[in-house]
Amino acid sequence: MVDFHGEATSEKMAMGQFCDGRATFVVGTHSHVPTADAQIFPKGTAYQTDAGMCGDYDSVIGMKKEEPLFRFLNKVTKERFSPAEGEATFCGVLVDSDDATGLAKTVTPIRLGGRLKPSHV
Amino acid sequence: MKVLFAGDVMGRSGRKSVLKEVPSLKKKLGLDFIVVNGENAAGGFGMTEKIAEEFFEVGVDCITSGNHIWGQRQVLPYLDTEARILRPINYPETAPGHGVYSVKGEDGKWIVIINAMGRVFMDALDDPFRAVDRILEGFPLGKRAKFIMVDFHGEATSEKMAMGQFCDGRATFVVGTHSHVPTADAQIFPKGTAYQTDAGMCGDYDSVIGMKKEEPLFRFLNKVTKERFSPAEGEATFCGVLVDSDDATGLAKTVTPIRLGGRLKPSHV
Repeated sequence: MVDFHGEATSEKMAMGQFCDGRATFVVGTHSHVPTADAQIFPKGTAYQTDAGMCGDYDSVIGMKKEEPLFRFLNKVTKERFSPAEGEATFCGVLVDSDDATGLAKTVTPIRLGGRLKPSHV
Repeated sequence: MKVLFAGDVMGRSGRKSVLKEVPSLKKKLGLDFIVVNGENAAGGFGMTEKIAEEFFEVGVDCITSGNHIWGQRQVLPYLDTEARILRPINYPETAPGHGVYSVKGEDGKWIVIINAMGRVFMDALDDPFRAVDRILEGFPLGKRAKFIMVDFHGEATSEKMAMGQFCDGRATFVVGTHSHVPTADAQIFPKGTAYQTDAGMCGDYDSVIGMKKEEPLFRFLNKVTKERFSPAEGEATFCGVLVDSDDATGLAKTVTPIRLGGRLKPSHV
């Protein structure tokens, strides 16, 4: 498995394609937003651009929204960022693979609790 | 009212999915208004007048864009004369085109579409937050306007989510574009604004964000260019978001991702 921590979807999707058929699973992190593009690439590698965060989605990527908004609007810092404290959505991805080939059989997003629409097996 | 937004249309494959899905969704869902981001529709870079007219003919009411709108030079005069095509509002005022489309409904209330662009990992444009704020102040939701949508074209999820929160209660719907990957975070924020970080592209997902994968991989691996990017030609997944809103308050009642065809798992109403 490759956890590819990055901002740009282009670089993350390129890493997925680069590993296709040579890794079981390539998943992105860092954006703190789950993507709805789970798929198995043509040569058998499971891929999702970002797994999303396990955190409160009434926020700005997990932080209480007031300070990020202040900084975007004023380009100065008022106080430290602090994590939002509402119920988190657990965001994950489940991969089932073939032990013989090492390739993915299924890839399934899992989202539980909090504000986002649930998705589970 | 029911409004459908379709994400960045990527080349021929993306156009085909829009021309196929928009008329049937309009009929099936009873859509009142349809917006499409067309900035990658012409070979992956920009729009042409012909493509725009094809979209309008199948029921699209407004076309938004982003940094790639300038990709086809011949379209620039059209941006000034066609009210229904937008470029981000926070480009300099003297740039061709405009960033807002507003149309008055039969009930006297306005439908307003705003296109803005982020500045994080993007060109250094004017402040998108204040540019959007000025329009929102002119169209109080539930009073002068019954539906206000913001297509916020940007890379960073932080800036996009901040824009959603900034507009909460003052716009009906804030949706991100540009990343070409649909996000699974559709929600209605506490004050009533529907939000999704990115609508995704209408394009082939066996690709690198819609382009044939060989050239992007070559560039990442070698840091030099071999040839031009060209859109992947496999079947597109049509990626959109449907918002149903309350005409009295202008706030969202439901927000539903729509994905049809191609490689991604379907999601529909």
